[in-house]
Amino acid sequence: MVLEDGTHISLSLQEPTEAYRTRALISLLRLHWFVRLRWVFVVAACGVLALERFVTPSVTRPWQLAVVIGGVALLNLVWMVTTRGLRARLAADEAAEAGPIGSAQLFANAQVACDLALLTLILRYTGGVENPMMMFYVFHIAIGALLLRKRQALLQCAWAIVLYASVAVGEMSGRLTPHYGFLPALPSPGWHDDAYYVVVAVGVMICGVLGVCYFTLEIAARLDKRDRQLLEANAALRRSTTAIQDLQMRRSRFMQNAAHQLKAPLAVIQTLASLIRDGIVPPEATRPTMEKIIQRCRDGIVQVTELLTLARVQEADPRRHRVASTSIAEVVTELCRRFKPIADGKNVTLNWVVPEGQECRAHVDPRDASDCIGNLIDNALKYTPGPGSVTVKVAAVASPHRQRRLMPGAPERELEDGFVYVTVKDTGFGLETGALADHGAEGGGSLFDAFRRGNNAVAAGIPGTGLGLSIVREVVEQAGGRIIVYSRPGRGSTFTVMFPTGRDPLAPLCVRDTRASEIITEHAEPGPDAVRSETSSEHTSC
Amino acid sequence: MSDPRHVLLIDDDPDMHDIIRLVLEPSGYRVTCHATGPSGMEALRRDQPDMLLLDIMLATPTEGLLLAHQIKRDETFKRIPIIMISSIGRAHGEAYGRELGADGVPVERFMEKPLEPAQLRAAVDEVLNGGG
Repeated sequence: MVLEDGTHISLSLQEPTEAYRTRALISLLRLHWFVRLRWVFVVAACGVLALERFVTPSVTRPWQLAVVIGGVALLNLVWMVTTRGLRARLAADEAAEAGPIGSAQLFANAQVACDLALLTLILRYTGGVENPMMMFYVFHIAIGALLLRKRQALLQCAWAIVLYASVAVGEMSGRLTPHYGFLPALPSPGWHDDAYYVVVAVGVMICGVLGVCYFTLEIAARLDKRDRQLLEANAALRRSTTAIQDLQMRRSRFMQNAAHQLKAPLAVIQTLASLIRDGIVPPEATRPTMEKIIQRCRDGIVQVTELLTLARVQEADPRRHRVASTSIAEVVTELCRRFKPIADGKNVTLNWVVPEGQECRAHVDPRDASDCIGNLIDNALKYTPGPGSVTVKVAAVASPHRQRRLMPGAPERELEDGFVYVTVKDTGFGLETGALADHGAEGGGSLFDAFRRGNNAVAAGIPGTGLGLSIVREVVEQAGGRIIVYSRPGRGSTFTVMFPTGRDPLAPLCVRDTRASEIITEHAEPGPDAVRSETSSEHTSC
Repeated sequence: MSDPRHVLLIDDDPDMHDIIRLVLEPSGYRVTCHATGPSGMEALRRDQPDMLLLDIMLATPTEGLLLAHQIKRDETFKRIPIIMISSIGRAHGEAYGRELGADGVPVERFMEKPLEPAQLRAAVDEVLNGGG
């Protein structure tokens, strides 16, 4: 927020329901509203007294009235200085949480309480219960109810009633003497002595004050509610904007990169064929070169197949995940059985753990779930040299204990209920810290972007299209899940994907969370200098 | 007899390594190949080659461009001529460069794959003999 003098104030509102009140309070500080109004009152009161003196020179007001008005002016100076101090604190404290806000509320309470006391003194010296200006109590209470918490506003009501009743009863009983008339030029009507009138006046004042307090509190509560709805709508809009920007960037990059990746094998094939044609390839190398050409054709076909998978996942109706109820335990078991011979062939132990007697059903399309988890297992096997191990675990309960078993060594975190977790842990190369540092948070690219491959995989000559993790991200984001990656270069990676459970299939679709992946990498020797690289992990809740 | 001119290739495609060797080595060039940016840069610092053949898309789609900018900003290495080779055209390469905040592709020559052996050899000869 920017004050009228250009000062920036940053507020972190802990309680959305208090947002309106807090902002109203800050508005008060911003505009010096109370302070300015009080100066207007002081000038008006002095003007009225001067005019009265001019019109009826023989009539004099009690000297105490001038003292009270002087007191208002003096106190207003104090408020003015305090307001500036508070504004400076709010501007200086970027976090601006409980401290300055609490002080501002105390400050507003003090102002309302003092104003009520000063108003009572003015009434005391200008007619007491005979003075119709008692309606100004209502004015102060309305402001108090708008700015303060409910309990504080009710206490201010009680304070106003006590003050007014004290003057009324004090004058009636003769404890407060003398009685000063509202209009000294005219004879006093003597109502202050009339018990009936005093009771009615105090009763009307109490009803007025409480009624205004109640209605103002109701209005404030409705404003709070509306404000909360607006905050939620704003947050949803921000998420939508982020999602659209991210998806547009991905699409733009995808088209360029896809064109390159499809052209690359064709270009190599053409050049190799040219080399054979021009006799540059020695006769003994002709057959291996022809084999390379055939292999590049195979690679191209694999790439097109994966592109088609990605296109199918991207273009399909996202609601298919809502209506699906897939047993993740079954999917994992089937996939692991399929990958077992490949793992055995590489001297890599493939283990899988599924909860006994539980299907671990989640809202994700079964074919997509199979593609997603299959890609993770395929990657783990690809990047784990033998002898090594790949372990796939399925879990439906997210206790901290479970989390430690899912991601051993990873920073402690609270995982959420309402998800089925699939963790694929390998003892392979791990991800490179440096490769992720240039990307991630700025949205310029991430591990999950299409055609992105790790340097260590390229250096090791491991074939790959760089599309597998894009398919994983697409499925998880569409299904409303999340991805957490924990990796130590040279010691392996742990990919955890979360699929939602128990959501209403008829509920409206959530805004897609395009920042639902979190990547944590550590140096091989974790310690105080361990490097963490995280992307945003803002979670979308419905 | 002088040492053969040293050409360093950074390209993540191992088949390209074979192709470049087959094309340039018979012409008297010594070719060393690296599949990743970090290992290629290490070789550049260590060996100070006469020329660099650089692919744009390495581990990331713009890693080659970043390396080219890095080399051309370095007082020690900026004299090394670079031929950028990529499956994306020069226009796309420059577009990537602009996305990175750079004006153009800071290289002596840009060649689009598929490479014609004779054209590649001619380009290398020309750039190394100062005609590029």
